[in-house]
Amino acid sequence: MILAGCSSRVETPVVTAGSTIIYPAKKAGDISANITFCRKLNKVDGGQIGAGTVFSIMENAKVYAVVDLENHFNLIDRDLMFHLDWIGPNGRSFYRKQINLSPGDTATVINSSVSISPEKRQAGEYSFRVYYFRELIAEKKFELLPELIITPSMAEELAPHITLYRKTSKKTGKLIGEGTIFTIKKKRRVRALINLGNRFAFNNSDLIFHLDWIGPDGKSVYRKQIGLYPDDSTSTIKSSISIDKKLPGKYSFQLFLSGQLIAEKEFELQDH
Amino acid sequence: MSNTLAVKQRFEFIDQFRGFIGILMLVGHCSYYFNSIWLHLDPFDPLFPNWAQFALRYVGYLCAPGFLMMNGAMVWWSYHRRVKKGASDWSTRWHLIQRGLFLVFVQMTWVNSSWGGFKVFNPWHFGIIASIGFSMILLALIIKMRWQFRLLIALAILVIHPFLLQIPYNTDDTWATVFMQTFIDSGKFNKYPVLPWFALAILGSVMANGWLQAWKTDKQRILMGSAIAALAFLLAIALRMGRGFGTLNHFSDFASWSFFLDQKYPPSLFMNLWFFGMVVLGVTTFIVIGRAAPKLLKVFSIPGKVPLFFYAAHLAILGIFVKRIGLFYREGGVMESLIGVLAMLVIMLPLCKWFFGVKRRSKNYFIQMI
Repeated sequence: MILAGCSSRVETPVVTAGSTIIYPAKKAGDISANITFCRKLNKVDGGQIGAGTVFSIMENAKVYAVVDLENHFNLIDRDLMFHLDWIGPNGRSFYRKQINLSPGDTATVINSSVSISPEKRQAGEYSFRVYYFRELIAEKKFELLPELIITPSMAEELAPHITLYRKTSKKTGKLIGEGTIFTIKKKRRVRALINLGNRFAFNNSDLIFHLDWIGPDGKSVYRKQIGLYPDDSTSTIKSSISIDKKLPGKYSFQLFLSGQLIAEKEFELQDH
Repeated sequence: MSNTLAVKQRFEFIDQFRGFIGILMLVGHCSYYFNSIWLHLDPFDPLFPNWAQFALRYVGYLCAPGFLMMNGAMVWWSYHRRVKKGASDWSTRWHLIQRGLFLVFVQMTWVNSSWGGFKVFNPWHFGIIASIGFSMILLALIIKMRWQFRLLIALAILVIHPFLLQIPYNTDDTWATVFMQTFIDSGKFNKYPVLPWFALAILGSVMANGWLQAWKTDKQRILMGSAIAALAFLLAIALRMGRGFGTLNHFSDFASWSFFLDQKYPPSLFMNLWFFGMVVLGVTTFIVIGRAAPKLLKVFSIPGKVPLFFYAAHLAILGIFVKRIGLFYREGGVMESLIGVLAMLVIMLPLCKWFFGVKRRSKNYFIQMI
């Protein structure tokens, strides 16, 4: 019981709207932490991309945990020690990072990331814990779904439909110049709109699409990656290329999901 | 109090405190086997989800200093008792050295393998029992010195040890690792390097001078013990608050968890001073309780009289049944660990009583060593 008095946290946790389990400080103004998970961090501003709590196991993918520290400025004159601990579905810690903030360090966000490649992780419920001077102050769970392995029959379930067009009417929002033959002109573009007839065919799995524009020589002229995540109910994907300096000939637009070609549409560019 | 009674009391409080430490160690080991926190608890860098888990782990921190100091006290007592009985100086030392070597042998053969229920024979590991054995051998060499010199040696080691920790070594180099982790640093090969723990054994022998000889009455033992413990605590707190020499881990505030949780493997100077004070305070408390309510402490005498047997047997039982057979292995929490302690005490106390009888009657060299 004496040792209980040495604890700086109350025993009963509080669950935030973002489902972070927080152990509030006994002393007003002491450090508190809020956890967010995301798929990527913006390299420029550190913004979170693809935030959520359900992720799919995937080659070269990561989960980032971003910890927002509250009341840090009350304690800016001293050393602060944090441990960020990742716990697997078997209850074992699989990665731990210690972060020491020196006096005067104004960082209010600390983060850690782990790979979620199939050779490293299994599907299941994981948790991420934040310790402040070795005491648990916040915890949040997330789920890893099995790797999505796409077969041609599975692609049909998603029911992708590609429409190629020139532009969208600003007034009506309707597509203008739908077709498969486009004329090369200055400032002209060809746009692709992909409608997914059954967006949630794979439940909550992350859908990582690669959109590839292929030229007459069979080489890619433009490639783009787009992720649709469980928290995002969007069922359309868009991409476009400029055609004013392109050579005439037969082109194609290809849609890949997890490396598997699931839809393709050919089109032709003609000289003006 | 008559002199005879005083002699009896000396043995009892040492036995009882040693038994208490043994039971605390059982608490730690039951947690290690039953408590799911060990799925992610790194003893070198411990993190705790709540105070109960912290307390369960922290009580075990007293064990190593307690055993080393009690062992040091017993080495001192054994040496002087044998010499008084007429044994030669060298034969007495040789007896202590043999016992130390036996402890190293027990570590390499029984203890290392018992952790996993004897599934794998794993002699190449040093540990607390070997560290006690090694300390015993070294202590045998200086045990005849006056307590003031022994105290100086212990303090010198404790002060020099933090500097020795800065010696760089390559953990891929086996011999460098074995040498460093046998004597100075902690790691996979050994968590209990001899040097700092030898210092605590010496301090135990110094305290034995007072507990078992110089302080003639319990009142003196209580007063001197309290004063020495208080001095040790004050020194430790001063070091910790200085946040510099003698401390290794950051802490948030005075008297917070992190304040008490400085580095254990190997122990920082703060931890050595703090737990030296805790052991002295513990022994003093046992003397006080022994006077006021002696029956309360009787249970501790049982494992305290056969500490090595208690250690070796309970570890083997837990290793075989919990680890190897998989009976509730790391499935519970604090409560399940404590239930495990009770169950193990029900098994171990009669076993210890039985073995003590065997040991008293036996003339067998190995039985005497255990």
